[in-house]
Amino acid sequence: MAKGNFKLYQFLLNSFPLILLFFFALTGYSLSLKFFAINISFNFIHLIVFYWVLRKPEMLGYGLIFFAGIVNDVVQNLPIGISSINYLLLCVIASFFRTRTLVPNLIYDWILFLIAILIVSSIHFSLLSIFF
Amino acid sequence: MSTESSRDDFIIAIRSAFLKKGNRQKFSLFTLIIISILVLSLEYFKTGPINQFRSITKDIIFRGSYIVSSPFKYVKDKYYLFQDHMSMYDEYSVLRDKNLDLDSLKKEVDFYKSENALLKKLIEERELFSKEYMLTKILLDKQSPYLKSVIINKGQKYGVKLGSAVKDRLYYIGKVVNVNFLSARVLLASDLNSKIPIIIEPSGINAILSGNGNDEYAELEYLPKNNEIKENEIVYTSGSDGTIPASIPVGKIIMQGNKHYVKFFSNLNQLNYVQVNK
Repeated sequence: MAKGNFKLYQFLLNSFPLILLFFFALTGYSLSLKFFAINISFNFIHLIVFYWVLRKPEMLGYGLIFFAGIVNDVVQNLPIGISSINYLLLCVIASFFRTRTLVPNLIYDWILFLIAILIVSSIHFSLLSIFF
Repeated sequence: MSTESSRDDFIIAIRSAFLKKGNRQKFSLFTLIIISILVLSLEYFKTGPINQFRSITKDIIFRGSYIVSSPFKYVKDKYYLFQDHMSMYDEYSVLRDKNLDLDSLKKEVDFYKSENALLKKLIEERELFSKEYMLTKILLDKQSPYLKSVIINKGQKYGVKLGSAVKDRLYYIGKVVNVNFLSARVLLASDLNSKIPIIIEPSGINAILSGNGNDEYAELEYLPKNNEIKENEIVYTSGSDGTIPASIPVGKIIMQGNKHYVKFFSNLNQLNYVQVNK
């Protein structure tokens, strides 16, 4: 019985990033704050994808990230496929940093995340304004 | 020598990021990016089997999203119900103080309606819009500062058309911007991309109502410079775009400094059922 519980716990723990990813993709929730008439929005999916691909890539499959992008596009009314490109580019950047980093550091991770977001958001904006 | 080796490392890291399949990964990132670009290029096909497939996929995802968000929707509904209960006494007092003679007003409106119908017949004006509305349920309420839209549970199968006006009780709230087989997306009047031709009564001034991402009020564009619009004047749809029927009330004028805003009659955060023009 205890072994069964442990297995379930292990399964839930391993599926946690996946559950979180699809929860945010399906509901489209994002934290929005108004700061001096400027809207600031946090996209949790970017954070989840970047963190897990950087730290534990075996827990989040690239195929599922692609699928989460498609779901997010449908929910957010974006051209289908654009979020998948964003998330996969984020994966490329995270994967690149993973192979280049020798000693992991949380502050560096956040700085790299900001750089990655800057690149991905620029590509997202360029694609939308050029083609759609 | 060291520059060359660091360049090699850089290229190896990029190649590994794009092409290497990690543990438990079935596809390389390069393959998936190519697939994503192919999927994105399918957006150019707006008709035919690809569009039908897209429509069915969207319906399935909307239903899934509805199930996942239902506990949160329940909590939100309960919160607004609680708020309504708290403000019930104040609202009752306001309504009692107004002391409107609704019955006589209704008779007056009926008289004007019949007079209007007669006059229209006299000038042989044709009715461009259907007066029939169908009741639909809100499946998803997607509201962020950059997107104010709702998903309704009726689509092409039930006769929902692109551009149809959507009302909450008597008031205009938005129009249909995307129709799937069993669902449709309604762009709310508060969305940043929403622009509707309106008329302000009784001054009779035409303008464009432009959403600004705010749930309570929207902005007015293309107003004449020397207008004499007063606070609390009523804003109706003008119907001049040929898709939205005329004379649906939208909101009333409020002033902030020298700027005019339109306060919506309907609470766009608490929509459960809406009516779509057939």
